[in-house]
Amino acid sequence: MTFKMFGAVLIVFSSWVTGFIFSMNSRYRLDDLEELKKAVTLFINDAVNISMPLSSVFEDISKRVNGAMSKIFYDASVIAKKKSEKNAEDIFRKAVDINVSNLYFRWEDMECLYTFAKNLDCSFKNQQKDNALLLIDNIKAIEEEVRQKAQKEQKLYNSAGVLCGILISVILF
Amino acid sequence: MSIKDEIIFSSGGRIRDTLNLIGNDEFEHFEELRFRTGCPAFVKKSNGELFINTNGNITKRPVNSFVPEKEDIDTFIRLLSGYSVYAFEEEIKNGFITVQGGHRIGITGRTVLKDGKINSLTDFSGINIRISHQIKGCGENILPYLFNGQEVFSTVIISPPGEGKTTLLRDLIRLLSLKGKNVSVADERGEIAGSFNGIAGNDLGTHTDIMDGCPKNEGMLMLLRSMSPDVIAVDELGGYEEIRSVELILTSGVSFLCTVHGSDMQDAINRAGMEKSLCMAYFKRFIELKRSQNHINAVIRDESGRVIGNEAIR
Repeated sequence: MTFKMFGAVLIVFSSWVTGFIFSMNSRYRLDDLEELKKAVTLFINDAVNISMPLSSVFEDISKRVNGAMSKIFYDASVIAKKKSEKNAEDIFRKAVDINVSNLYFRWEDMECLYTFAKNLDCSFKNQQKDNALLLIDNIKAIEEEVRQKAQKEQKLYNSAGVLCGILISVILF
Repeated sequence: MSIKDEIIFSSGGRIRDTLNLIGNDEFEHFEELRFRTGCPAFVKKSNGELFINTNGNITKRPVNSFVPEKEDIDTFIRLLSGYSVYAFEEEIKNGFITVQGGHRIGITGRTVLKDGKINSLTDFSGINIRISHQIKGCGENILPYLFNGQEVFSTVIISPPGEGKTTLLRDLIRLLSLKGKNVSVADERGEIAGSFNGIAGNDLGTHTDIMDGCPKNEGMLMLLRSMSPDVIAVDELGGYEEIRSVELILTSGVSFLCTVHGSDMQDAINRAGMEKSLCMAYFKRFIELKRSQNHINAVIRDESGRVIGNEAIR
C-alpha cells in the first residue's frame, strides 16, 4: 500500500512538473521579449546618441543582454565585421536564422525582430530613433498580452498537470 | 597598414573587389580614385588620369574599364560607414567621410533639404577617394623659416586643392612636435591625424594633442583652454566663426599654423575673410605652394609679402 501511495504521489508530482514546464514556455517567451526590448533601448543609446559603428553597437548589446538575444547580437557583430553582407538587414537576419532554435518567440515576436532588422539600414538618426521607439511600444503591447495569457496558462497547465496525475493514479490503483 | 589595406578595409562590394586586384605599390602613387555611376573608373596620378579596368590594371585607354553601377556605389558607402550610414549623418551632410589613414571619401548624390538647408544626402551617385600621403621630412626645408629663436611664427600654408597643403601641414606639426613644442590639432575632418577609433593613423610627433572630429572653431578654443599649447594647428581655415576663434588665439600668445585655399597670399587673406592689417600683424609667414611637373615648390613670404625663401617640397 505504501509502495502504491508513493507511486501515486510520484505520478501526480511528475505530471504537475510536466504542466509546469508547459506553462513556463510563455515565461521564457516573456524573458526573450524583455531582452529584445532592452536591446532596442540600448541600440538607441549606442547608435543614435553615441553614433557607434553598427558592429560595435551589436557587440556592446550582446554583452549587456542575456540568453539567445545576446547570442544573436554577438553573431551579428561577427558577421558585420566580416563585411560580407550587402546591408545591415541581411546581417541581422542571418544572425537570427542561426539562433532561431534557441528563441521562444512566436511569429508576431519574430516580426518585431525582422522589423528591427529592416530599420537598421535607415540613414537618418531621428528616423532610427522613431522606428526604435515604435518597436519598443509594439514589444510592450505584445508583452502585456503574453503576460495575461501566461498567468491564465500557468494556472491551467498546473491544474491540468495535477488532475492528469490524479487520473492516472486512480486508473492504475 | 599600407594605403591599399586602409582603402580595402574601408570599402566594400564590387569596388573593393576591383581595387583588391590593383598592386600594393600602385596605390602609393595614386592621388585620387573616382567612381561615378555608369562611367569608367578613373585614377589620378601626378602624371595625369588613367582608367581602371575590370582586371585591376591601370590603362591609358578605356578598354574593358570597370564601370560601377548605382548598387555598387550604395554598397560601397554602406560598407564604408560600417553599415552605419546614420553615424556619419553630419559628415555626409558635408559631402565627405574621412576613413582610417586620413583618406577623404567625397560623396555626391541627391540632397535632402530641410528649411532650405542641406539635411542629408541620398541616392548616392559618385565617390572620390582622395588618398592621404604622409611624406615624412617634406617640411624639413621649411621648418627653419618658422622659428624666431624659440618662438614659432604663426604661419599660413596656401595653395589650390590637391597641391599638398595638408601633407606639408602634417609634417610641420610632426617636426615642431619633435622639437618639443606642444602642438594641439583641431582635426575636424580627421585628415591630419587620420584617426580611427581615437588612435592616430599618421605620425604627428610626441608632443601633439589631437581633438578629432570637433568643429574647428570650438576645438581650437577647447584646446587653448585645456592643453596649454605652444602651437595650435588646423586644416582649411575659413568662415566667420573660425576667424573670430583664430583672433582670440593669436591675441593669447599662442602660435597658429593653418592652411587656406588660394592661389597666393592676397587671395588667401580674402578667402579666409580676415582683415589684412590684422592678418599681417599676427601671421609672420605665408607659404605658397606651386606645382610644377613632378615637384612642388614652396615660396615663403614674410608679413610684408617679401619673398624670403624658395624651397622644393618633394
